[in-house]
Amino acid sequence: MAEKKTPVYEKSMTSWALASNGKLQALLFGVIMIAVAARVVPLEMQKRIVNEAIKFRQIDLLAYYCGIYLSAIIVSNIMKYLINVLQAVISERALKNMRMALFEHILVLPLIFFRKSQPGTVVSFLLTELSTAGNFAGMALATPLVNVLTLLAFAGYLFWLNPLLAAISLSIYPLVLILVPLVQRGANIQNKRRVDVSREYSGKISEAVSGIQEIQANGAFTIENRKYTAIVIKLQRIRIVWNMFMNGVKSLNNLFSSIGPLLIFIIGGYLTMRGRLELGALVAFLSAQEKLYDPWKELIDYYQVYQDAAVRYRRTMEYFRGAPEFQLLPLEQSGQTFAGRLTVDRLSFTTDDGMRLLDDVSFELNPGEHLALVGFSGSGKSTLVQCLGQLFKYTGGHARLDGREIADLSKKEIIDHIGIISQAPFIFDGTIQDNLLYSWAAKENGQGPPGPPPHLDQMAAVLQQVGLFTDVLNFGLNAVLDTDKYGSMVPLLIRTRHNFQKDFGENLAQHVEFFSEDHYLYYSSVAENLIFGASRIWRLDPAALAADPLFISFLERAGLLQPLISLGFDLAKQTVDILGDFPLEAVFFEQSPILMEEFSTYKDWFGSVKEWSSARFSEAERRRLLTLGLRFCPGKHKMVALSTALQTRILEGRQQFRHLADKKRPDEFIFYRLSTYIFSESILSNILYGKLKSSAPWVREKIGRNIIHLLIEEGLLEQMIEIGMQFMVGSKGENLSGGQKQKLAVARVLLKQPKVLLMDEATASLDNKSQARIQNMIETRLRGNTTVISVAHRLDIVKGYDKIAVMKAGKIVEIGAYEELLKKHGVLYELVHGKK
Amino acid sequence: MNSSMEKNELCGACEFQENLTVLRGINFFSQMPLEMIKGFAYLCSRESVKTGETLFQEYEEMDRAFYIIKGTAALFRNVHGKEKPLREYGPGVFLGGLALLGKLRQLYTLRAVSDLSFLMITRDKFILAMERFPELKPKVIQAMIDRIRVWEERFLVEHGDECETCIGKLGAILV
Repeated sequence: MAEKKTPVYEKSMTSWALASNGKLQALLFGVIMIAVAARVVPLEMQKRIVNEAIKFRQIDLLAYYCGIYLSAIIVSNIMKYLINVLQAVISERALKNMRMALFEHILVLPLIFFRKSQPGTVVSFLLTELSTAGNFAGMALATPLVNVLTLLAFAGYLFWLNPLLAAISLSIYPLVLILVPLVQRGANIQNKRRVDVSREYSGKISEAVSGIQEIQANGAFTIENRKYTAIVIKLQRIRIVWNMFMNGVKSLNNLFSSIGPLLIFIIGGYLTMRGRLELGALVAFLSAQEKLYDPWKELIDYYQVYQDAAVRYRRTMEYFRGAPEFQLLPLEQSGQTFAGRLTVDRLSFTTDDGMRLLDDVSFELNPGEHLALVGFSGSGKSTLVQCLGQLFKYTGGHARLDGREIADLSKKEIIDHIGIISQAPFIFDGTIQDNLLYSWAAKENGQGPPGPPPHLDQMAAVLQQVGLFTDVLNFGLNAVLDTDKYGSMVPLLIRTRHNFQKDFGENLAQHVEFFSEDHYLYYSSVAENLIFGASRIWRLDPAALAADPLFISFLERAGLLQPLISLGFDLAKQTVDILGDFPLEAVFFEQSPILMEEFSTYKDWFGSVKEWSSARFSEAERRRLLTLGLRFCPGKHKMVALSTALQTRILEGRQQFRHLADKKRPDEFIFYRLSTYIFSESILSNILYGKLKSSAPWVREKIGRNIIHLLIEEGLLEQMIEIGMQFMVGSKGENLSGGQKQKLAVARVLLKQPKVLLMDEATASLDNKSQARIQNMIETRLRGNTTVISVAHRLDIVKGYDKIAVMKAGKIVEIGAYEELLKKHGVLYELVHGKK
Repeated sequence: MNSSMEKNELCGACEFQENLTVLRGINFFSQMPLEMIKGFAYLCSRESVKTGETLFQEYEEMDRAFYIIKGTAALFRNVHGKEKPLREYGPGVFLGGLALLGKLRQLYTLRAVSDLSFLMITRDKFILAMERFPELKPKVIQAMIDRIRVWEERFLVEHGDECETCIGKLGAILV
């Protein structure tokens, strides 16, 4: 029988210290006992040294006691170190366990929670607030144990020395025990407020970062600064008061602890004068009494950390309190497979605020039937799809999959049988393949270790179905070949290059600038024009070349150094002049020789330098300008014209560089030849044996179309797709277009072959052709196999559906086949033909 | 005022300078400050297509504007499954200003009827650049309103008497 797990938010803070740390805690306990014993030994030795060795002038005894004293100190310190290490390990383990358990819990919280929470707040709780609780877990056993035992050992020793003095010096502590909690209570109140305002604070930052486009577009900097400042000031005030209370506890403790020695001096001094206490005993007493302070202080610190951690922990767990709306795993391993029959009966969904978003919705779909949902925005189409996909829990009526209530199905059963594609899908950082396998992996390996992925053919077929195949192929073509893995492709790619030149060379010359030894290459950089090849050893980056002494001396001899620095100056001046007022956005730097991250340096610099003739440049500045000159690519950087004289000189330099390289660095360079693969260039540039003149989509498409045939001929297509699948999509898929992201989202759901497919305007951001392709795939491949419900954004795509449901104000006002509804001249008719 | 672009000694005949001259002659851009036009001259690209190739397709979302430098393009519309030629555009014509302002699903297909070279700017670049100068938005919208009004007025003057049914359907400026 399954054990009932305590929800993470119900667990006590101390439970983390003990959970899975049993052996470590036992070891810690042993170490603590040794440490405490080792701490008391020096006190006794002090007394014996004074009373026995010094008093009776016994050198051997002095050496003997000092030896024991030293050993005790060494043992005590080693034990202290071990205690610290063990505490740190326990802390980190507990923190890791807490974070894992809480994150696992957060992932299954109802979606409504995330609508109300700012991501920054969640991050702040997991990262900052929990860490204090983690630290506390490490100290939970060790600190009180070691310090209480030390305190007891010292106190016992004091009583053994002199019960009266011991009683007097210990009389202060009960008073401290009464006063400290009173002050700490004030600190706790402020701490709770601090956690709440910190949450508000991180939420504010998240909001500003998420809404930065709106802020910049409206120039609302003052408004946002004002809101932010108000919270920062509030937080500052609370933190000051909190610190006052915290330091109040410390000061109170210090005050009372300092009174102890004074009492000993008064009473102990009197007793010694009267001969009722040995001087050695008084020294040992004072020493032991002084040593009481450290464990006591540590206990007070521990108390404060506990209070702080408890407040933070409680606030964190309160924030995430809430049970998931669904069962993760089926209660019993029924292994039921679903055919995809959907029965929706008087379904309704009302929000917490009382808004009725779905009202009495009923329909039935047989396995493999397709239903299109149409209607105005806000009519409840998306809500219906979300309820059927268990993203929201419906509040009334029934929705059944093969007779079983969807709300009662486990998440595992849902992901195994239902696929959901939203209008704005989220793409995760990683490769195309990672994203393509996302839903499949969740279905196949969700509860266990990842198994082997589907065959490449299967993935390629899905890419083909959604129209992403050519994009992935292009990603592959634009990659630089990993020769360790794909070295065998090189001769085939060279053959593809020859075939390309033969079959399409002339026809595509308008879009491709072919490498030619005798011509200047306008779509290659000055550096590439000069070298006309690649290094076997290093990447020929203009910045590295501008710092290479051999290359500089070559430029000087070729009469190119000064002209290129001057060209760099012109480029910098023009680019700063054009882009000076524009925001730092990557898109503005696609045609700039200055990289985005370098721009502010140049902007500041050109604020002071106006004219080339009057400028005096440092060595670093000359190198920077030379880098720009070497980076210049006339076909791409249109702000400066390349003079014919400089072109000629660069072409002459190309020959001179080849001679120099052969002489000074033989075998380092590979020069462009029709028969040689260029390892530093992309696969595409290698096939083209040149560079594309335009990045326009139709140019890429045209080139790609022609190359596909050649790749098929050489049997390279599969490997190119494999390479393309490794394309990094970037954070939130920033390296993909909107259409590519959407297609990838469709593909990842199709790959897991769900029995029910729910599409929420899933093709709305696609172009006409891509929409038609996916629509066609739905109508042919999925009909009869997969039950489809699709929220349609266009009426012309709904004709192929078995049923159309027209929604209005949360209700289905009309449902039936397309032609049937048009004949009725009802709402669909009005939507299609316009209102009469 | 920075007058380096008025007579640019660094870029006597560079493409940027030529683009700048073109944009300053287009009504859609001409009312903007020079700094802004310079930005657009830098952001636009020169492209070419061969005879028969398509620049944009009917029903496709159009996200760019074109200025024809050389060659001729023809506008088509699908009527009862057949592509019907409507009119031709030659050098000096600017097309697609409306598509720069927001999403626009095309009603026509534009295809090169001779080898065509043109200047092109995409909406994403245009919108990002405009965000830098939000105060210019009203001017750009006004320029577009003027274009639509002038177009309709010219249509009325030139074809007002020709087709009663067509005239009955006019009134784009009242949208």
